Amino acid sequence: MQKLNKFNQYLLERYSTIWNTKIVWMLLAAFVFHIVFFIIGYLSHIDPVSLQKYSVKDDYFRNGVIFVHLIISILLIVGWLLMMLKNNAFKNFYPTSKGKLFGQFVQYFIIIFSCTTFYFSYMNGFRMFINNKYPDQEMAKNVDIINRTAPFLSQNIESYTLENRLFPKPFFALYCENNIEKIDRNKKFFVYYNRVYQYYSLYSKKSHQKDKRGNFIPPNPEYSKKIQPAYSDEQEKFETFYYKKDVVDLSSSIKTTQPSFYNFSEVFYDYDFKDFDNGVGATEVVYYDKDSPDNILKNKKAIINQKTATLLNSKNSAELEKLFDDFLSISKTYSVRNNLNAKKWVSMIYSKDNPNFEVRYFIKDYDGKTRYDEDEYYEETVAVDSAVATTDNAKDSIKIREFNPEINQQLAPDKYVKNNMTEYYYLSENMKDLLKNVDSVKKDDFFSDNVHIYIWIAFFLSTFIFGFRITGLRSLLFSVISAGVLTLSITLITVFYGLTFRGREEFFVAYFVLFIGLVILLIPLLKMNMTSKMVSSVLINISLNGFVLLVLLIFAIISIHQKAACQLPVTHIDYDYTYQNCPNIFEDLGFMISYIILIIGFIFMYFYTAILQKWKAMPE
Amino acid sequence: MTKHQQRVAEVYHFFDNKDTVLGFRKLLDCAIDTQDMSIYKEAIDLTDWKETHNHAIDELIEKSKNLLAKIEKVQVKEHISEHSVLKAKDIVKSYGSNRFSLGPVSVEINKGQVYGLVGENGNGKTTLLRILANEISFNDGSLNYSFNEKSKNDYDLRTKLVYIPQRTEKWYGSLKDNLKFVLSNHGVSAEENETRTLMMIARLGLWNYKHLKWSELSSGYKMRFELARILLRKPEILLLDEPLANLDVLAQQVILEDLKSIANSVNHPIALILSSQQLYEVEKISDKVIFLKNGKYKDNSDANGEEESQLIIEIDTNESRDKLLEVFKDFKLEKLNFNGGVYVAYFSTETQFYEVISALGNAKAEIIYIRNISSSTRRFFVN
Repeated sequence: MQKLNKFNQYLLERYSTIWNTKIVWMLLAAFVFHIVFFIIGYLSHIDPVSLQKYSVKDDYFRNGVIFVHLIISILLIVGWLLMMLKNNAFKNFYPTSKGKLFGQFVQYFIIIFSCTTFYFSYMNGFRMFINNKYPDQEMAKNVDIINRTAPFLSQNIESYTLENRLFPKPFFALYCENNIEKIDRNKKFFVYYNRVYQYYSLYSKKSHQKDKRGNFIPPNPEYSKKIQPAYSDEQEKFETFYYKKDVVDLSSSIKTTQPSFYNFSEVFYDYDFKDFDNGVGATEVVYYDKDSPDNILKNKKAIINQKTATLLNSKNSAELEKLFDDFLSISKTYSVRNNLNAKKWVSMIYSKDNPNFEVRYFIKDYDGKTRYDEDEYYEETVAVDSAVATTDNAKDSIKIREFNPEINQQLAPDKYVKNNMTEYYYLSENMKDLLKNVDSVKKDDFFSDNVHIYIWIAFFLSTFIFGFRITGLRSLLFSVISAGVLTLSITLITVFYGLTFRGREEFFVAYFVLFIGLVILLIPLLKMNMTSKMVSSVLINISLNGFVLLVLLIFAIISIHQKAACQLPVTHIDYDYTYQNCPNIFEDLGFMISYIILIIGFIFMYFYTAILQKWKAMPE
Repeated sequence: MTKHQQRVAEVYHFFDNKDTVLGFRKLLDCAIDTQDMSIYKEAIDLTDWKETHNHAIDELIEKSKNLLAKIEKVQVKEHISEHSVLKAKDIVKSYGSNRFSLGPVSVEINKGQVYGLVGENGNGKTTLLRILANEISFNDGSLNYSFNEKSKNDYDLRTKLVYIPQRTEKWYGSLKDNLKFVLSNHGVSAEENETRTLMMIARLGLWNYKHLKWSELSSGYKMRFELARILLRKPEILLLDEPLANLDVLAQQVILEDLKSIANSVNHPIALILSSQQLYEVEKISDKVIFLKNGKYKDNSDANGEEESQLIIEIDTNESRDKLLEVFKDFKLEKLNFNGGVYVAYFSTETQFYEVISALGNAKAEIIYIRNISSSTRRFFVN
């Protein structure tokens, strides 16, 4: 205690501002709480089950830690203010300088920032825990095992149908047409219940021309002949259109049209494709989505397909059992609920009457005891989720009979799934969530994503407190009221303008607010003596708190001008017009704009301290 | 003999007469004038010793004289004030639509001088002080300051215009820290900070109060702490609004005596203007008393025609008006007013004060109080 007191006296005698702002003690207190939050973060997800939900990196805001954070931040800031407000050198006209005043403001900012950013310590603790508990190497190994085992989980029949197949080679290169309208009946096709598949070789053409809307125009002569491309791949400068060429007969490779393990080509988990939530296990539709980096994904899928085929072909049940054992042991470590047993699981796959490894059992992806137990819900949603399966259309059902005359004797996929559903379950989504969360906590840049909100909370609180310290409570309250009245008036005037003149309201509002902002800013700068001390203090307070918003407004004005300028040429557009994305200062600079405004804000504060001194010296 | 040595000699005299109360305060004034930290430390130690050994008067005198001997040897640079530190010329201030107007007022004050500002309530005392402190603006006239160092800007100027309003603000936190904060802000070196603070605490008789909280202090000591805070700023001009309000008579006399003696420092004299209702006490220490009535200026040095040489006497007595008229019948009595329980008698120029007293004595009149207010601004009040 005596040492603390001595240090305090040391500060008081040498660095009066630092003593007054209590920054040393506040940083110390904040540091202690940062450590506490680091520990909370480290311990928060010890139970792997806690990682088995959507986006755990937001847990901070969901599980109440944010409230603890808020309470601590408020207590710290209030306590700090109580201590700091005891002395005010500026108010008492003690000598000061621009640098000293600015230093005070910077200290406020640092104190508030350090007292409100426990989130980052929590996340760092959390990340450290994840890195320790789920090291990269181990995870890579585990993910490989999981991805290789996933084909045998047989939870969704759609993953096992023919169009999924990518191995061996011909499947990878060919296009599988499964639109019943586009099937050439005279060439080789394959039928599974109500689905028809036909394989085509492809040729491709590039297009560099865009239409008015900015879409690439398919090349001629296909475009004029109205030949639809099978799919296309759009790049920034061009788009490649793929057209069907010839039907290829793959009968030698296709032993069965029934759902088979040979067809499975999904990547169960790959962090790079986490945003393609359904895409990783996709059907063709999403698979050829123009935005999907499809080649990489396609290759990855083909590798899974190949590995599964190789494993099946080897007929080595011991190897499969070893894989399952590893998989189940990982599942146990990660507490993913299941009732699988490696031996029995293997026995369901290898059976003498199933040489083509058709999928003859299904594992539930839910625990029977959970809410999914209600039959109705289950029938509707589970296992068969593809739109292709529900071809209620009468026309289609007539057509399908032309391809598959025996359809009536066959079992529909949904019935097939229901009949072959076992009592086994494995909560694969939980596993996926866990893996996703682990990688997301490790790799996501939560600092850059979240720092801006804390920066601006700290900045505005600092300007507010600074304004209070400089001008006093009365002026500050008047400023708040004035700002409110001003906002209300601007809104009303804008509404009035909108009703009377119509059109270009955004320009009116932007320039109107800019004008008023500049007037408020310039009066204390140029003509302070013109107004009374009270009025200047109101203007000064609004300037202090509103300057950065004014800078933001200037950026916004630039942006609306950019938008307007970009729209103009559309009126005299011709066919060859190369459509460009409108430049927008906000999009170009991104979050950089936040830092730019912050720096401008600090520079402003430095120079504005001269005005604050001038105001203080002004007689009433 | 330098001014400093003269002062030291006076202090010796106090101690020779065993007047330790005033003597010790004067001793500290001399010690402060040295600006020597080793002397400061000794003075502080002595104060501490004095406060813990209350009855050892002889020992105190001996110790004090020992310190005085050291103080005497220190060369003290005498401050020579050539310019008046504040020069206000024809200041006029009017509020609203001619409801109240102050002035024109012209004031000029040198360092080391003490001006009293008196007048009834609502006659512009506070307004004048605040104008002189640059706290409020004025409509006409000019106001100039001349300080040791030129001010860099308006704020810098305000840091030198020290004004204490009648109602001072509450202090928060340790009293000593508040005082040290002042010195720290004024760029006093860290080594001297504690010493200078304690010295000021000792000088203003706050030694036993320095560990208290603000709320535990009486209003007199609050004023003393406020004064300590202000004096640490080494002001060249000091404007005090009603520093005596809420103080008992003894405390008023002590604080005025202190103010006078601090303002008269050898090497750091202060120009002091204070407003007060305590005419008598203020008049005793002031070089000039300014009287404000309805915003108009009068002072006790003004040559106001016949009033100047008139003899004006204030008498508090139980005797009747007739008896007094009887006593004064031989003198040229011009006017006898009865005002607020006291009589004010106006005599023509030839009459002498001692003659009046002896006449009253001979008539065996029962006098509670009598005072010659011919040159006192008191006469403006009773008029």
